[in-house]
Amino acid sequence: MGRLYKYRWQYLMILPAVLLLFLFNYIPMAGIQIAFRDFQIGSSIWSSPWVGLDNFAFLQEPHFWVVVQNTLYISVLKFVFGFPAPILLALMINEVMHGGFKRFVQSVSYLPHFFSWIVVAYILQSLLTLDGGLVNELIGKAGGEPIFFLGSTEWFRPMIVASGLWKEVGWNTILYLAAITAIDPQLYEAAKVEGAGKWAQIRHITFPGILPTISIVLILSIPSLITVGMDQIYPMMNSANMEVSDVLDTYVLRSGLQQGYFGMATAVGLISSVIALFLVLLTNQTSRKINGEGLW
Amino acid sequence: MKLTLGEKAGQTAIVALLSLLCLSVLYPFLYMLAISLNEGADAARGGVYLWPRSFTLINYEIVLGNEVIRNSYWITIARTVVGTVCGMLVTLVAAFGLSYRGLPFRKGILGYILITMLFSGGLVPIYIQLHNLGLTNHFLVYIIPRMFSAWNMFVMLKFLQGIPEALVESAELDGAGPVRILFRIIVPLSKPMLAALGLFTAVGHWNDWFAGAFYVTDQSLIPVQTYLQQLLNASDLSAVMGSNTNQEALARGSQQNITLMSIKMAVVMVSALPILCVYPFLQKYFVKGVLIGSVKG
Amino acid sequence: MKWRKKSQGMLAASMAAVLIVLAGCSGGGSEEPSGTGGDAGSGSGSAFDLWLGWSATINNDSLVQKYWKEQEPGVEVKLEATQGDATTALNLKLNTGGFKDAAIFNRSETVDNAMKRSNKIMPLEQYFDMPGQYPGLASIPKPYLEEMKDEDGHIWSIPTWFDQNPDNPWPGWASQTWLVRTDVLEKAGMTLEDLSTLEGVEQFLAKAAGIADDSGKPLNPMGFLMDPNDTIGWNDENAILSAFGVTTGSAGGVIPVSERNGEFVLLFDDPQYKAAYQWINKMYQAKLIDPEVVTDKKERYKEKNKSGRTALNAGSFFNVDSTLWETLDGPTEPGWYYQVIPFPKVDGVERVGTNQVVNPYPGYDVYISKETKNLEAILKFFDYTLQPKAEQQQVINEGPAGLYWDWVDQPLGEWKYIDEEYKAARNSGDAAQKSKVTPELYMTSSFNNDWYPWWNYGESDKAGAKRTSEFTAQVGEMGGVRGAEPYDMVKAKPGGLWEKYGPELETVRKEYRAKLIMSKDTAQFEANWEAFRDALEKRAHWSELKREWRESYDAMVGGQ
Repeated sequence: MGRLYKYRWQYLMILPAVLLLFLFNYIPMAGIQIAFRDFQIGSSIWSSPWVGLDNFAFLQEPHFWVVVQNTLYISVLKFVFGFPAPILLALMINEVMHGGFKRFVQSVSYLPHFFSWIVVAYILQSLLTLDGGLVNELIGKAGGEPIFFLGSTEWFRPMIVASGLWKEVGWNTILYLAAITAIDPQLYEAAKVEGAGKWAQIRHITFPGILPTISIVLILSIPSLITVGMDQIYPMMNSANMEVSDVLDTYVLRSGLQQGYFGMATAVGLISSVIALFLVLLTNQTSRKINGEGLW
Repeated sequence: MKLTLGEKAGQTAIVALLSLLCLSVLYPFLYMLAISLNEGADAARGGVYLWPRSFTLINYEIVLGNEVIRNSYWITIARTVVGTVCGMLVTLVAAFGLSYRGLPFRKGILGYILITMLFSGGLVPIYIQLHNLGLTNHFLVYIIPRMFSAWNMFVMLKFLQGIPEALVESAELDGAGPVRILFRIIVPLSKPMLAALGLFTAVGHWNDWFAGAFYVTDQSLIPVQTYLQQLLNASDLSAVMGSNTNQEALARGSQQNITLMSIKMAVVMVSALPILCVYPFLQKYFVKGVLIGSVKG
Repeated sequence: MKWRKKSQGMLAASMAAVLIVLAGCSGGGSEEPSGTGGDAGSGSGSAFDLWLGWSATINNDSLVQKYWKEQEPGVEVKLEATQGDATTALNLKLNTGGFKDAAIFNRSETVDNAMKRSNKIMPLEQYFDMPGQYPGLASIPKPYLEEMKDEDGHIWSIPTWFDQNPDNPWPGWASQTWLVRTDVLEKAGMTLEDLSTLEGVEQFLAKAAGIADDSGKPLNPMGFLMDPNDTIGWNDENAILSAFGVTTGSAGGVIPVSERNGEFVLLFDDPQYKAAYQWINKMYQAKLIDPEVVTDKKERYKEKNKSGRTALNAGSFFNVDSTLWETLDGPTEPGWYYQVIPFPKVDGVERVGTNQVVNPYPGYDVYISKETKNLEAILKFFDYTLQPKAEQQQVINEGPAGLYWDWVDQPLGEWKYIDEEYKAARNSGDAAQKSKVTPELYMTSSFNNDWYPWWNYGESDKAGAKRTSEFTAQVGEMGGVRGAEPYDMVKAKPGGLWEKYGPELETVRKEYRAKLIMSKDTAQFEANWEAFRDALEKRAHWSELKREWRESYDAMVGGQ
């Protein structure tokens, strides 16, 4: 009891957060039971009959697994390229000696984050079109055959990954840049005295200095691996690439929400959450073992 | 100040790569700016790349020239300012409280928070709860449910753990309570992190269109992004029952001048430019050396 | 300390912001200076809230709404719309107390079932039988009401946007057709008659491939829109399918059905469906169709047409779209040269497939909340909108004749706007401007074959403006339009298989139409066709769907 009193201020500080989470996260969480009920639009959650695992019937539909495969493929690719890129970019920006150029790059690189995907998709389509788009013009000049990017299933994933990278890489450097500036400059001074060059400084000071940040961002980005941004996929989806562009969110929207099958949508969400939980804990343990940095 | 040859080469390579990146970002931006300042029908003919061919402000007039959007700007600005200040405060104190490793039940509370990041009841239960609390159709629905951000808190926690314990201990020896320590010592040392997370929170508020679409029906409470989302979706007529009503809607729609891509470009500019101007102001917080001299003495 | 000043500054700023917002909010939310007070439903029977089941920009001070409040019918209608998806918003509302007074939705099984299930709406059958008090409601043709009755004889909504004369229905807009650029036709040395057969069209396309547009690029001989948002009953390929004799139209049914020798053939089982796609594929392989048909979205499609890159279009001319000629006075742009042509004759096809079924049945439903305190106002308003006059939809949409618009020389003849400010805001193309003058609630009224406003628009500032109505008249005569039969109206059983697998069926259709069209050779086409049939069965449970269709049809016909 004495210990609780000793930390009374701390508890007070944590109280608002706990309360808010209780009100806006835990109470609504009771709604997860929709996954096990036959909830139809118009009826109330509590009066809907229990149907056990009926809402999970989609697990038996072969197309569901195709959709899951599409989703995982895209999200893993996006992660493999999209996670290291901002780190590298942050390190690069940090090394720029010219202050003005450095600030310029910082301010410009995150512009695309603010563009709506609807417009970005339009621009992308204008660039990649067979009908005089810039990319195919260049390919033509270089002597190659024009490529039907937009209608091809092979190019869809690279397009999504590349455009996703372009859009978010600048924005994602912000946190790493903040972490870099928090590193004690005296460490650099000491290193220089000992004759360490730029490269060595990065390896031994900068990178370890932002490792905690890297670890935490890694762990925190796990939950979003399961979903792939609908906003990005939907405008780029068309009849030709549908078999690889149909992802979990579009599937749930179409077969679940638009029909009013909230039970199915909640069931999918529940499964994703459980998998995400497992992955987060796994990543947390691994990260702790590797560099001692975990979620807490 | 002298660089080795290797370092010079490295510098050149880096500058070259970054310039390429900036170019790849600036070009679409200028393209959108050009289209938005260009007459719609003319732009549709193609060939407008970097500057407007037939300059006009009509697209902006259409997007900005009505009370609905002006009002929604106020809402957006208000929610961004209030939401960011309140949100950062609540999240920061919670992170600070949780940074004390000796705190009883610490792991439990962190687990409690983690679960909320992974599990959710979905839109319907959330809406019901908001309705029961009287928040639907009220300005505070933009602020209160989002005041605490678990993601931000975990990042803050990480940063706080990077601050030398010696500082905190010496302050405690001097008789300072946790509140004092937080605001007099921790905050000044955490400027880069606070600036970054503050920016994230602000942008999150600025870009959120969902709350305005589903939690609010009062037209005077919708933020800019909700209004603009409609405009962006404008020419996508979703499936309507029966060919009669579908063609009816199409026919009536075509009786006036349809909004073109130029309007959508203007929409992007209008929604992005204000918040883009915030970052330069925050850059001064990304300053090296906040920890200098803090450990000495 | 600096930080203190900073946070004080921030605190002050946020206080100010909160105050501003609260001040704004306390005004009752909506901008109503001339208000009857910010609250609706003062119980005097003169106001009610109408919730629109689609997204719209609302301005409750609009001129037309003012007229309703102050003049006729003396009811204040306060509109509310959803900014997000309407079905989701409905679900949310129904779970938290329901809507206040009335809600209007596109006729939809999903919405209808939801409303009934929620137990939050009131039955209305008695109000359709009170000619003394509600003549408008009493004038609703009985067949529509009969169809809406449930087992207990209850009617749960007021139907709107129907044909006042089910026996002489307004054919509606007919826009599924083939359009040709006559200037390209000339350059190819051919005439419109040459295009009366499919072979003729193929010849034309071959010639068009060698012709260049204004900027020197070779033309796309043929183009149509394959928008991922289209549906079975509404997509451009239907114009081609019509030429092959496939029925693609429906009247609120789940799937287009044709009747062959007493048998019902559901769309995908029609052998001509395959034949049509084989032809499209043949054209695609020969590079006579724009390779990007499968990927272009509406914007790109329209841009290509506008800059004259396409020689022949198939599909709805609204997709091309109609502004391409409506805004022209003369041959200043390629859009001027578009002409509609009859469906080319295909060997062995006797009748053009129906792509449009004239459906006089109501398109919208108005539901009334059980808890409403403004029933009188609601009934009064809809009694007014449903007056069986041919021009009533125009009156509801733009106000009565003589106010903002008037007849050119006689009633039920041509009309034009007489108030310049009204017209400017109305046609500005900007939703907020338009909402200042009218909420465009034509769908709360009904239509009549005697007179349709947009086929009688008297203002002809541009020579091309009248073309659209001319086109639709021509297309209506091309054989693709017919009246509704029972088998066109088979709906999905609530909680049944069509509800469950319908969306997947659509996905299969969209995925495979692209594959079929883009097949590299005959062998690949056949392989894709087999895969298509396979997917229909495996993913969409096609045989089961057909069985359920038959059951629903039998139940529907048996019940009558």
